[in-house]
Amino acid sequence: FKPKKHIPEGTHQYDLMKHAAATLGSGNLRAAVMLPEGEDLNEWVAVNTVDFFNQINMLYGTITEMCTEESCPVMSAGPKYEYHWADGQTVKKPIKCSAPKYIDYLMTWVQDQLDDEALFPSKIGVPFPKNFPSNAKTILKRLFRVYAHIYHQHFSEVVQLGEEAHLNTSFKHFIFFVQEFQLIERKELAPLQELIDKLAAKDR
Amino acid sequence: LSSEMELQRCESKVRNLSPQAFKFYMEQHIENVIKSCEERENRRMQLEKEMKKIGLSDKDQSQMRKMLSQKESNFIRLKRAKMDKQLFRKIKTIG
Ligand SMILES: [Zn+2]
Repeated sequence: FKPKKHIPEGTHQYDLMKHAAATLGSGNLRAAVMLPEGEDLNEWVAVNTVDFFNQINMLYGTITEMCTEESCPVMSAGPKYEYHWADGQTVKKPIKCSAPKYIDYLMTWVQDQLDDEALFPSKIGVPFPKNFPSNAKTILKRLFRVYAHIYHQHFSEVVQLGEEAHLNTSFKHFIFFVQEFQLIERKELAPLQELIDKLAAKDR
Repeated sequence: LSSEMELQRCESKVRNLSPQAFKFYMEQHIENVIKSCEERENRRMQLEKEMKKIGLSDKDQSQMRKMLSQKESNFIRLKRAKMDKQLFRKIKTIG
């Protein structure tokens, strides 16, 4: 792997790109995210959403001690992107808070959605609600921010823990999935666009 | 699970996890994702092959396809419900 010339060595961007090459030796992830023949799209989105939530929850669990009020007083993804928490239901006015607080709110909110039988029916034969697609999109959009925060603020720690290939693989799976079904708007993905292009190009 | 950990569980959705546990999970998981995709496709092909062999009518064929799809769909629904509840228990014992 050769880094692009215009990215100076030693910068954060360079690090990200160098390590973006590392993924787990896996088969065809593009094919694996596609809707299986005869499957209901909502069902497919639901099972994958739970899966991504679990992966991100575990991933963040490995760095929680390094993501503190002191290290991350605001929830950000690089210098250009800052997130304020609002769930649109109980918290309508966005709150500016630390990353660990924000991520705690976010994961708790997602877990509540996943546990809600009316949104994510778990019994055979119970249909998904009409608002399921828009709800799933909101969940995935928010989960993306945890990846964005980890890549921008904690990537060196991830490398130290030797889990960059695992993070990249998890993120690649996530991105392939949201691309396949156009679940997150392009502007939301901007904080990691370069990395996304890189991961996608590698697989072509 | 210790009572201290149980308490932590109630307070926050985010729990401490060893990198080894996460890595182990991801390695197994991504293999399973690829494998279940292939296996599902194989089951579909197998059904097509067998229906052709016994010369099933078009109507019966489409009914058989529907039955298999429904079975697969039910399977991922149950998997989702299970994934949600047992995952962290399992991971704790691995890590
Ligand atoms: Zn942080």
